Amino acid sequence: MLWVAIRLPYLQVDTLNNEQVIDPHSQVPEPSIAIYNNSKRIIQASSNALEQGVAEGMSMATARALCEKIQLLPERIDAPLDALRSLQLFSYRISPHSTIEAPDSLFIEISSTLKVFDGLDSILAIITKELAKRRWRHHVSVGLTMRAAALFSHCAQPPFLTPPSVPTQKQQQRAINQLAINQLQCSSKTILSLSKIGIEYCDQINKLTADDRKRTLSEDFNQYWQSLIPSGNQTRPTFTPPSQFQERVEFLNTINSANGLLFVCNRLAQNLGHYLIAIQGHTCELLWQLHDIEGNSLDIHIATAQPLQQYQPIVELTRLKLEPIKLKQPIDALTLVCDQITYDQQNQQDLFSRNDQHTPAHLLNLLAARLHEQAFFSLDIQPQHQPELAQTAVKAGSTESVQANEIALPPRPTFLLHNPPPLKMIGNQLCWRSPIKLLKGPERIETGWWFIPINRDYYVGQDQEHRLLWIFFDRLKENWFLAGVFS
Amino acid sequence: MNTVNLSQLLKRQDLWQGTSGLSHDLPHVKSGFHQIDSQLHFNGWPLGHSIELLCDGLHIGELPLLMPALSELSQQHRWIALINPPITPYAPALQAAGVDTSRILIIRTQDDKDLLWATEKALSTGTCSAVISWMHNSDANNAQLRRLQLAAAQSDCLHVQIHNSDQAQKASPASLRIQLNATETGTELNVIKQRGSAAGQHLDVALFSELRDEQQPPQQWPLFSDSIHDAANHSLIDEGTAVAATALH
Repeated sequence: MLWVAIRLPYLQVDTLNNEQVIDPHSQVPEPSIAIYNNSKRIIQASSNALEQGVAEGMSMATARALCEKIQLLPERIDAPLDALRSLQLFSYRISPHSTIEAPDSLFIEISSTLKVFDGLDSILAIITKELAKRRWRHHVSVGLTMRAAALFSHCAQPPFLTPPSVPTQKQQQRAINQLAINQLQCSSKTILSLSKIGIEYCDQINKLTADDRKRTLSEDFNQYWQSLIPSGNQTRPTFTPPSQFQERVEFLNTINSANGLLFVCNRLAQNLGHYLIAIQGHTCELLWQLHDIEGNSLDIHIATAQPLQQYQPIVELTRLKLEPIKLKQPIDALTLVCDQITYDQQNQQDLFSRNDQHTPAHLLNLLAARLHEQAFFSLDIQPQHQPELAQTAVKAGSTESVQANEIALPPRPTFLLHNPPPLKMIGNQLCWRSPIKLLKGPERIETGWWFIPINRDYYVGQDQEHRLLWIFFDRLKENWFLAGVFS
Repeated sequence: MNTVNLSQLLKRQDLWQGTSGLSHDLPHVKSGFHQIDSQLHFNGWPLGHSIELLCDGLHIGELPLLMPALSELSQQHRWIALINPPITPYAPALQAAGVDTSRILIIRTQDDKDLLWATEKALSTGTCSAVISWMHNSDANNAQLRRLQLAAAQSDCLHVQIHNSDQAQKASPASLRIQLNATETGTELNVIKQRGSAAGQHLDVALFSELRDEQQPPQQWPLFSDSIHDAANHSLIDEGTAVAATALH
């Protein structure tokens, strides 16, 4: 087995910093932040706070004295775990074997995917690129066991990374032997007892026989020491992604404009994209929830004409949805929910099966996001004699391809008026804007006797402005109407 | 002058080069009217260019002129976007003209901004084979029209804008501008600008000529009725047609 350990010791702060709406290209300095626990002691601090002398274990008053503009925030218990879960979801693209170790570590077993990714260096490059994108301070290491990888992640310069190489068992043992015992992940009591018997380096433990170790060292330490050495009975945990995606981001400072949310939306959409790719699923529906400072939430639904998987169209549609929104209250949290996931391969096909960068459905998605659902539609032909009923407006993309009718029908106008205006009869002359000369007709349409009967005689006429008109005489109402216009 | 750079410049399609710059074999779709294809420099309606049709009145006479081209383009698996038509086109008429109505996408926008946005998106996404925008109520300025022209240039679709006739006096970035006037037999086309060739052509295109021939009234016409009455025994010469017959004279 080959394990990659990712240790994220500053997740409390880094997730806050990352959730800030900071344009990565702007010159605005990142805020100085420190997190305190229930005992009012500092447990984590941002890089610039650390540079100003703020340190772990310090009181809040001391931190404030050292850094005037520091923002002191309470510990968020769930935040590191949520962040680790999000990263685990990302790691699912690399390997299905991973596990989280609270409060700050993720382990990925990659021996089965080394060849797929063309070696260890490629996998490490993918991981570090993602961590850099998330702007999480991190320590990455590799080891032949999970505990060995965890141990190396605490080293200032973890072995086997420069250049990345898969260690042999001997190489790993040699690397462990060089470590001081206080680097081992044991209790301070164990470390103290080791130093009392004169052990300063791991090499000295390695030189002890198994019997000596059992006799002189505690059972817990022996188990830990064994866990550093590869053996055939290592278990490999399997990660199963959750059945729905939900991620919430809380802001350090409230956001007053919908456009200000885009940076965070982009990141959440990327995480959703990772999730969908990981589970090989697609979605047609997602929900943004904008939580304001008064506890109200504004729901923004996005429905797409075609199942989506990549995050870019999600970001584009979100931008279009957010553009017209004017926030009534500042927003202090944002949630993205996606619980409508399809695994149906047929749904992944384009509407018209065209292998383009953008499918026809892409335009519908954009229109739905910017305009409203009724603002665009397609036309469907109905087998009805009554001209007004022979056409219906239908949801765009919902109709099948229609070929021209082989049976020649009487002429139909290019535009049909849904509320036919009555025509005037001046003497024996029909008029609509100007006198109409009848050219063809009649075509009788008599139908609807079981519902709303119609009985009409249709004619083609031309007015003095050379417009070709379709008019009818309603035999029930005994009046003339303009039905449509040819040209 | 560096001749290499000059030759590179001359290859650019967006550089106006008088009457000789633009190749005749540019992407185009046949208009379906011999007069138009033979008189236009593009041998039909150009693809990847903005076309302006200028007309007055109801702004509904242009569509029959474009119908044969739309019929051909509807065979592609892409949308035919009709943006803000004054009246929704009648699907049975489109079908009768050979247009696959399942490709028709009608878009209605509330304001100018959305009209321009929808047109640009329809062009730039590459999802449409034709984009026809009725812009007779639009106040789009030259920069906005230029933007649409650029979006059209990056696409391979038929882009037609329909404007009021008074726009003819204003400069436009469109590659082809045609003034339309209704005539007794169809439509008169006056080409007021065409990129790559001289303008000034006057064409008369007959539309619906089979309908314009006055018939001798009254005459039997196919009876489309689902009435329980026997159609063969049902006389067309009754009160309604009698009035019509009077009106025909």
